[in-house]
Parts: sequence; C-alpha cells; structure tokens
Amino acid sequence: MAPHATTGRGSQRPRRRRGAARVRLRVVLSLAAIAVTSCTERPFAMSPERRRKDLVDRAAAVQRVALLPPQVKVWELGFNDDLTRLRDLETRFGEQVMEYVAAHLGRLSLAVQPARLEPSDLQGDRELSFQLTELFQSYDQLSWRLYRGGDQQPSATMGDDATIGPAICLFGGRAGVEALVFTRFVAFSKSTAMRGKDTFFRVLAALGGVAIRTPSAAATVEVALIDSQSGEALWVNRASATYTGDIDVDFVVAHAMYPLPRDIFSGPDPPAAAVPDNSVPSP
Amino acid sequence: MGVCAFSIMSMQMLRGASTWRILVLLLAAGCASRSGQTPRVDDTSASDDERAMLAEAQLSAAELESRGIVLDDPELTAYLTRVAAPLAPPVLPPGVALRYHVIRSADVTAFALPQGDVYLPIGLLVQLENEAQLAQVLGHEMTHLVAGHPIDRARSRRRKAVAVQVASIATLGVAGVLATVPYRASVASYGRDQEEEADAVALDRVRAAGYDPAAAASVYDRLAAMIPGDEPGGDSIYSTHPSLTERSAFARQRVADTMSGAGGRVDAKTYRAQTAALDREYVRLLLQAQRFGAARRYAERTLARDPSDAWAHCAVARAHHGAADNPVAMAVERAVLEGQTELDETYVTAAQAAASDEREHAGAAYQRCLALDARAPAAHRGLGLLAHQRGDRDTAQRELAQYLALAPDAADRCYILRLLSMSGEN
Repeated sequence: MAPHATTGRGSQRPRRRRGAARVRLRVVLSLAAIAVTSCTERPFAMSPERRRKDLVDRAAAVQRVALLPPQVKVWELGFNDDLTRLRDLETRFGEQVMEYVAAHLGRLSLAVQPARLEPSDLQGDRELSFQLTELFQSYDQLSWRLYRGGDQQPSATMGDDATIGPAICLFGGRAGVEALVFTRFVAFSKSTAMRGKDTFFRVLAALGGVAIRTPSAAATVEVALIDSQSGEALWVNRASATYTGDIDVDFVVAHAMYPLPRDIFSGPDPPAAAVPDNSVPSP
Repeated sequence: MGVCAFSIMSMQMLRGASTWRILVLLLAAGCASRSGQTPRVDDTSASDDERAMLAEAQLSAAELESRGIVLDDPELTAYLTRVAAPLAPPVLPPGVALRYHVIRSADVTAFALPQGDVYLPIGLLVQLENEAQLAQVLGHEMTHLVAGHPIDRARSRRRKAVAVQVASIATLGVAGVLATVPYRASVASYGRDQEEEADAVALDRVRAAGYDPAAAASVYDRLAAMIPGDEPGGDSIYSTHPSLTERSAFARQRVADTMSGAGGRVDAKTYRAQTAALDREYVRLLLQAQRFGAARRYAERTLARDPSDAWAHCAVARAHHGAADNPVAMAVERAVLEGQTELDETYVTAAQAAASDEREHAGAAYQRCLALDARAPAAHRGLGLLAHQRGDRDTAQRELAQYLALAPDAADRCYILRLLSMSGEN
C-alpha cells in the first residue's frame, strides 16, 4: 500500500516587518531563479516505460496482435499478515484488463485477434498448458530483469537481451499474429476489518486536528508487446494506483497504455464503433 | 517437508509485520472450533474459515492441474501410491482422501493440501536416494494431514501459506530468476512441534512398513546439503520452525533412542528404476528456470555415472550457453548460493566477464555431444546459435538447417527460420 498522506492545520504566526530593501532583494533573486531554470535543460521524469531503440521500425511490421490470458492476482490483506486470494475478483478483473487493453490497442490501428489460449481452448491439452505456464515464467524472468533497476530515463532503451526466447514461436504461430501482448495485474485490497481499523484511526486523528487519507486498495498493471517470432520485447510499461474506494481497472490500464505511440503501427483501421474514448482519466 | 517454499514477493508481504497480531489472536480464540479434524466443504458443523480454506484448497488443486503443472505419469503415480499405502493409518479422518501427485517443478519442497492431495516436485524426487527416504517424505506429509495440522494452521498466523505457495508454484515462481531464493525458506508454515510430530510419526510408520529408519532419516541431511543458509534460526520469520539441520539431528536421535539397529529395506535400485526418467525433465526445468549452474552440476553428475551419455553432454553445453546469454540469472544463482539476500552488481559484472569462457565451454560440450550422437538436434542448434552470435554465417546456416531437418516440429522453428533468413540476407 502506498503511504498515506497527511495534512497539518497549523496556527497562524505573526509576520515580522521587513524592510523594503529586503523585499526588493527577494524579488530580484526570484526572477533570477526563474530565468536560470527556464534556460537550463530540465531532466525528464524517470519512467517505468521500456521500449526498443528500433521500436518504430519494428512496429511498422506489426498489424495483428493477440492478447495472452492475463496473469491476475488479487489479494485481500487482513490482520496479522493474512492474505487471501480473491478469485472471483481475479476473474472479473482479468476480463476487464483484456477488454480495456484490447480497446486501447484497437485505437492504435492494430487488429486484435484471439490468442486461442483461454482455459477453454486448452482443455485437455496438458502439455500446451504447461508450455504456456513456462512462457509466463519466461516473461516473469524478463520483467524482473527489466525492472530490477527501477525507473529509468525515457531516453534509455532496451537491449537485444530483452527477450523471452524463441519458445514464443509456438504461441505466435497458433494465434497467427506478429506480436503477442502480455498483461499482468496484481492488486491488494484491505479486508473489512482492516478498513475498520483505518476508519478508527482516521477518527482518532481527526479529533487531534489531523486529516489522514488511507488507501484501501492498490493495483499494478504491466503490459508488454512481444515480437511473436523472436520473443523480443518491443515495448513494456507499468502503472500503479492506490484507491480509497474500489479498484478501478480502467484507470490503471489507461495509464499503462497511454505512452505507447499511436501512429507507428500499420494495421488496418478498426471499425469506428469499436473505438472507445481515448482520454486518460485524471487521478 | 510441509508447506515450505515462499516467493520473494510473499516473503516481503509476510515481512510487513502487523501490529495487530494480539487482537487477531484474541478474535481467533473466540472463533476456534474443533482441532485435528479436516471437515468437508459441505460439512455444516465446520466453521466458516475451515470451509473457506477447504474451498480454496480445492481451487488450488484445480489450478495446478489446469496449468499443466501436475505430471501425467500414471506409472509413477501408482508407484508413489504403492509406497504410501502401508504408511497410512487404517482409518483416515473425515474429509481426507489421500492422493499423490508429481509436479513439474525444480523445487525440493513437498506439500499437502488439506483434502488429502500430496504434491511431490520433480526436484525433490531426483534428489532422494532410495525408497526409504521417499517413504519418510510421504509419511511426513501424511502425518500432517491425518493430525489435522492444516486446520490448526488455518487458525494460526500463517493461515494462508498454502494459497501463497500454490500461487507461486502455479506461476513457477512469481519472482522469475529469484525463484531460487526460497530455498532459504525451505521449511516453513508448520510450527516446530508439528514438524517434529510429523517427523517422529513418519519414522515410526516407515519402520513398521519394513524400511530402514536410519536410511529414512538421512533424507534431512540430503536436503539440508542442497539448501544454502539452512542454519538454525537463520531467519526471524521462520524462527519458530526447525531447520533441516535441526530436524536431521532430531531424526537421528530418535532412531538412536528407539530404533537402534532396527535395519530394514532401503530399496535404492527400485527407487532409481522408477524415477530415472525424471532426470532429463529435471535438467530441462532447471534450464527453463535459468538455474544454469544447478543444471550443469546435475548433468555432470549424470556424466560421472555414464560418460558416454550424449544427452548429458548436450545438457552441460546448454547450461554453459544459457549462462553466457543470461549473466544476470547466473549472478542471481551465484549470490543465492553464497547466502546473499540482495543482488550486488559485482556478481553481474563477474558473470558478464565469464560469458566468453562459458561460450567456449558450451561449444566444446556440444562437440562432445555430437561425437557421441551425430543426430542430436540440440547440439546442432547450439552450435548454430553460437556461430550466429560470433558472426560465422556459413556455420550458422549449416548447423541450424541441420537442426530443423532433425527436429522439423521444433517449438522454436519460426525463430530459427528467421535467423536463417537474416543470415541469408546478410
């Protein structure tokens, strides 16, 4: 969970009188500071986005993509380090992640095709199921390597070693696409008892004149576009959010998908009716 | 044994120690119902938390099946069932039906779900030396189930350990290459008393079934040698839980005190015959998990038994090749072996510096594999990829084409064809 924010309500202090010279000096210094900052190159904010150096060239060959079944874990956080998987929510959020990611990709002129790897498609094929599990394991290894250094400069690019290996061929071929999309969604939600504890402390703090806002849930989503023949990662991004109410999957998915350039793919235009709103929700 | 492995993620989550433990214990004390019995999901006398735990356990079992983690080997499963049969008590608690499964994991940790499903990873089975040790493992897990330990645990501070572990195994390790780290947490979840009870009862049953209890007890030494950092009380999270070294001492003492000179069957040959086929899958799992050092050591162990095993030479080559291509994974493995809990960049630098040596070793081992079996697809593939990496276009073309000719249905066919077309264009 993200740390809670606190705001204090301090008492007003009497102001001292300042001389006119001192005020003038402050104004001059402030103007000078503004002038210096506007002339200096400002560093970009660090970013979790990862892209290949030749993303634009490689993306030109991508017309069709398939979404692999998302890896979704939703945990309820209880007292005493108690963790419970919320499987119903996992199913629902998994469907929503697929829906929202597909909608975003559709807006990028990409044809989104079924990967034919849902549990119903794999029924009875134990070997293919295990190969898919191992493919996800390979993706987890890649993701760990990519993010072990934390956020990075937006200008930094992924090297040739950013690949999950040739085992992806089997699944790219099965789906008949140029790229596969991996999605991972992990969320934590506080139990009713934990939320009750938060409320108790919020009330206690309010009596002391301090307002506390504690998140009751948090979610992280990771989306990756992977070349279906070489296994190379073309583009990967992560986004996280905390919530004071219920988890809003669209919000966090939109933030993860937003930096993917929209004019680099060469796929056929999707039907206009299937294109939802492109706006990123404000936090 | 017991539920043991934790992913890094789960360890971190569990490490976020709550200050509400006392309150929960007070609440739990008011809710506790029976002890030592496993109710059915539809058992109306079971408490809500027990029913929820059983429902979750059944979903966990289904998840392991649906992800293809459970090995489909009826012969091996039947063997496990035969070994376990004389160890089981005549009457099982209601709600428990014992079933044995082999799972495709390089982990060394067995675990059981409360409805009676016992899971033995390939990584554990290949490390055991004889049937007596297997019987000890099965007897141990069985004792946990029969004594209702999972239900007791449901009311304890580690109540959701099963869910966390299954979630980790079902994804073959959430933390990817760091999946090797949970070795350190090899024995967790059940408390010290429960583990000792399970070890002691298992030894009694193993002896009653005609196995040599001393040979059975040696299983803890065997596993302790594999687990880095298995020192008593080494991790505060597991400080209430005995280490394998402690359990080994306990088991040896119990054998000396109550079963001295008992003797009995060991059945090393039978065990080896039944499990020999797992060797290759184990090495493949290690390579897939990017534990290249462990894969090489195991393949070299196979070579020590049979130096003319072409497959083992190829496995050694693939381990060297993987280490060269994935220096970060190699660095993680080295750090874990040396008991580090964080990856220092010096390990990565060292692994990167060793990459060219690793490629040379890989090339030599591929050649040895080919000398023994000229039609080994893995050797042609490996030599082709090495040649491609050093820019030797002709050799790459020849070897990769040979690979596809020998393995036309290879899973990486499209990738190899792409390399061939790229080197043809150049």
